[in-house]
Amino acid sequence: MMHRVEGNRSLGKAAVAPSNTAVYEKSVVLNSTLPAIQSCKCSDVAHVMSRYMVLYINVRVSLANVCLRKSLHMLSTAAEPWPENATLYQPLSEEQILLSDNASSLAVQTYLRMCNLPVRVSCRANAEFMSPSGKVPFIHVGNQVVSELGPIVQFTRAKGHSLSEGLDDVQRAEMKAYMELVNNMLLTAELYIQWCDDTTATEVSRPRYSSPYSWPLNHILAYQKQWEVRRKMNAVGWGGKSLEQVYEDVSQCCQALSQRLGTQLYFFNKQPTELDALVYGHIFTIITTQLTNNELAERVQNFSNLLSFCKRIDQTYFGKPDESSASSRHSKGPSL
Amino acid sequence: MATPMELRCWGGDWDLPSVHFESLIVLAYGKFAGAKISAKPIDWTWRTITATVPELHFEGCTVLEPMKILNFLRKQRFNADYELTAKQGADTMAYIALLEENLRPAMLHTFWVDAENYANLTRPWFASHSPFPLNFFVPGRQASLALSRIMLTKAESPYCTITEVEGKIYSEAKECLNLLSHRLGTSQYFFGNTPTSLDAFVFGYIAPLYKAPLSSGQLQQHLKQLNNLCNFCDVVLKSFFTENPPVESPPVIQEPVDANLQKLTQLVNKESNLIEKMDDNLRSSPQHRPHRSDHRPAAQRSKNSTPA
Amino acid sequence: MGTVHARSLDPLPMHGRDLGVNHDDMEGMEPEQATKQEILENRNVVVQHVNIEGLGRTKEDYLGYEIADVFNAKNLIDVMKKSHDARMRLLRLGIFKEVEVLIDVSEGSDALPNGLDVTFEVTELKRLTGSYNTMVGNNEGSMVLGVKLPNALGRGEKVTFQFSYGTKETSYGLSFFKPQPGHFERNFTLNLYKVTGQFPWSSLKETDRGVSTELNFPLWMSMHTLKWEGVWRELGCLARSASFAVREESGHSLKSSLSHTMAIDTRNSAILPRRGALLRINQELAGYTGGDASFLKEDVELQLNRPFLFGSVLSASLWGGMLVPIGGKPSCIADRFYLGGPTSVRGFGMYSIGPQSEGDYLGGEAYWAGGLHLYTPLPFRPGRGGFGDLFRTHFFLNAGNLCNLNYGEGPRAHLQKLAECIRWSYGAGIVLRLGNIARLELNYCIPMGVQSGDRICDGVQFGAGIRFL
Repeated sequence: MMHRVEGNRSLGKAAVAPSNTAVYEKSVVLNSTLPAIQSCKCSDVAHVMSRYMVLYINVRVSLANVCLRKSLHMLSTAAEPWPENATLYQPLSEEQILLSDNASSLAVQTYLRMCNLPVRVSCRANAEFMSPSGKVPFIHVGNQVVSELGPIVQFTRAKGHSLSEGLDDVQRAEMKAYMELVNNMLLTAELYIQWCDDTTATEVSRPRYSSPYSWPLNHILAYQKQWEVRRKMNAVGWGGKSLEQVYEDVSQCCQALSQRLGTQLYFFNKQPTELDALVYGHIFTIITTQLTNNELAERVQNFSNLLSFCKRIDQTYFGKPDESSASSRHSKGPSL
Repeated sequence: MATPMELRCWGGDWDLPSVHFESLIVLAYGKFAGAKISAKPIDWTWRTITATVPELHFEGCTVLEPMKILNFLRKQRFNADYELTAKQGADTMAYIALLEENLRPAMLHTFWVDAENYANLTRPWFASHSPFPLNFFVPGRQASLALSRIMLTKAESPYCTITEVEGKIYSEAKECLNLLSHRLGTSQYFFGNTPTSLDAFVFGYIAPLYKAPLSSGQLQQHLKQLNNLCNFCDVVLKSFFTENPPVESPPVIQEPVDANLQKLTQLVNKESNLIEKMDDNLRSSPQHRPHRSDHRPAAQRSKNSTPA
Repeated sequence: MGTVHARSLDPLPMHGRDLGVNHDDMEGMEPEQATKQEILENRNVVVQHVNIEGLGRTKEDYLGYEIADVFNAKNLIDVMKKSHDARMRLLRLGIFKEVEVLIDVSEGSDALPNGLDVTFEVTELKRLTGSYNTMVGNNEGSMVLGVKLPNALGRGEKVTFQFSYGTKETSYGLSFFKPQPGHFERNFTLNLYKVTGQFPWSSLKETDRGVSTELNFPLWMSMHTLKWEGVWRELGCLARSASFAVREESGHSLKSSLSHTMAIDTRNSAILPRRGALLRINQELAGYTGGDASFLKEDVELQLNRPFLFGSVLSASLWGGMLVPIGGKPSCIADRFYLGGPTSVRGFGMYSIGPQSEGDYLGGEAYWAGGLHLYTPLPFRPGRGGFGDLFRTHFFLNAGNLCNLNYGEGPRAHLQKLAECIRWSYGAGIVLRLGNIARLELNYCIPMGVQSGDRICDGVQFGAGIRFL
């Protein structure tokens, strides 16, 4: 019995015993090790953590969150070495990636650059399916896989790299609130425009999304994705919105960001935070991406302080075209 | 107002004017802004299954969804955010987004998906407030809507089960409550001494959680440890939703505002108060004074609303 | 001459529909037949009419081919034999529940003195048959609903639909089968399916949705199958702890492949043969007709059986296969070969030989495996002639290897690579035959030649399978 692709493909295949419980076992192990870690002296902590880090492999992000936060205060001083081969995975930057994914990917890249953590960008046609959460981008560091900005921030913080250490509680609340604003408004609007506006979906999103696949799979997957996004839009109450309302939401969101930023260098004055990375990722992608029309970009371009903010971050963190990530980032923009 | 505004919403219980958090947002905002909204519970009517609550009726218009109702009220010159600066307006939006993204899924889960709460509290309550044949469907329908919303917005991949999502949404919600608590600090309301739309949203979300007799309430326990948020709920309930309100309530603290400062605020608001900007009608017209400040001299109002 | 009830006189065993009974247990009857033949063989007869009674939706022209041979009978024994053959042929079509043969002297105006009429009384299967099953596994359950339309269009066409609704996944399969009238072995099948498989040894989950068409035909001694398959494959990690190598394979792909299988099977039983040989050669070319996957895959299976001392059977088998990716793209984890487990190289974990990453087996592009078995009846033969005959004891020696090839190195290097690091094992155990399709084995195994990364199963190993080394 060795091929699994055998002539008589019968239904009996489904009877193979499943075992996807392993992940829970691992997280249980992790939890039970925590008291032990906490009772150690601080100097041992880094050592112990590095041993137990192996257990973190792909542990559910939320569980990791809880655990990591517990041990955060102990780790804040001991920064762990960042592996050389850390890789960020995203869809094919030339022909496949969509506006929203590109924005999220750029946000993560920016965040990691702000933390001064080098990462190699790898473009894969199946990045979305490789990701443990089904969302791009994700990073592969050591033997851990973490996806999306929020969990990646938690992850780097656990490794001793953080941008928001200097903030007080109220500022942190504010930062989190604005990050959710970007996710709630900008990201949702990007998804809406990509998949719910028929012209954009037909001319840009579906052909690009399905470009790596051959007929007829390309159509199946593109429509499947569109259907999925539309269901989500309906669930969050965006299903009934018109395109004009969505543009208006984008304007509002940008106005809020613009007001909050004011004339400061970054959202929290001199020091960049993950909020800056997130806002830069989205705003920069929106203004550099060509969709079927320029309406979205124009709405954003009304806010001059946001534009100069983007320019500043672009120059500061992507100024030197030294690494592959920079080149991939520059090439992706206008092509969408 | 000649005809009072009528809000269709779920009725009250557990010492709350409504058990439905979106209805509660609108009711609270109405009180904050001084609008006379007569709540008309949909309990025991067929609307329990057909209506989208909250639903505001006013002079033939019907407005749905809390956000739109709040905008509508602002247009009707019931503006609780009148005195906010532009930055505070931006903060309001951001915190509302935070509530939507991080607290709402856990709220829905606590009331509608958590089996113990659903069976012991939510389903009996909604079933007993629906007319006969519908009482078999209303709670189940709401529960499946809540579940699908949670799964669609928070499930990481299509293969995720609800148990995997639970941990994530509860940790997010607890974090969100902590952040709100930090943000509130020791002040009475989120922006000083006057309640605004953010207060209405926060109240709407956390009051049911605070007051409902939940049998399994990890989120409730967490909330009860955050004294300032609980206190905030109590204050809002006491000041705005008691039958015989204590004297001097609502506690509109009318500090003598410097006329120039007032004018400046007004100017800034007109330029950039983004919440007001939500409707195009307002953009071209001068800002309406909120009714709440009606006792102020009319002359001053007209002067203020047409800045030089 | 009265009515002869063919069934009661029939000297040959009649087990058309009970495929479970084995031919090799029926050997003692032949001499008896020979004596009867002597008495009756000289009576010349002419078969005048052949009637089929009880036909409903079946088209008569379809059956004509099956019974035509009865007219050629020259004497009574011949008539009986040929009627019996025709009966078997009719039953084989799978459209009748029962077939009885009546042989009578001809009657009517044109009746010859030595004329016979043969009548087949058939009972058709119901137009629609359904089945319902529930299966419970650990931590999951499923409900299997099957619907079958035998003889859907009146010429032996069969439509089957199977739907399985489980706690974890749903699968379905719809197939249409059409034989060529008169040549049942030449048939055409169209399949539409969705199946989900979980492969814990690779931490992989695969969902396939596909269409396949298949043409079967006999050629001289061999059976041939030509097949085209278009399948949309969705791979995913079974758990979050899956290795990154498996994670990299996740996603969707489309495979369109042409394959040809040739099989020569002279064994007397598929599960516990006493004698005979099996040769099966399978080749698959994917990518030529579209799709994302491009490869050429060859797979050979050879099995030889011969009786040995005291009712025991000596059996040798050899498997081999090779997968050659075309067009520079690496092969997909779902296409590669897997080796190991209780029905291939015993003593090793299920598919747990060869290249692996963090404990997830990735399969290989080339493999071979061989086995040598000595099957004997149970010691002291308990339950002889009945239940006990379903069991055998066996002693085995298995060997095999699985690896990836670097195609730049040439064939000599490949052979050398396959000859290095051979895994082998030996042991003994009990085999139980389940019907004529599967078998269970309980073995004590001693794995040898274990390489790092292999998962072994030292000692008692239990397994079930339909294909075995």
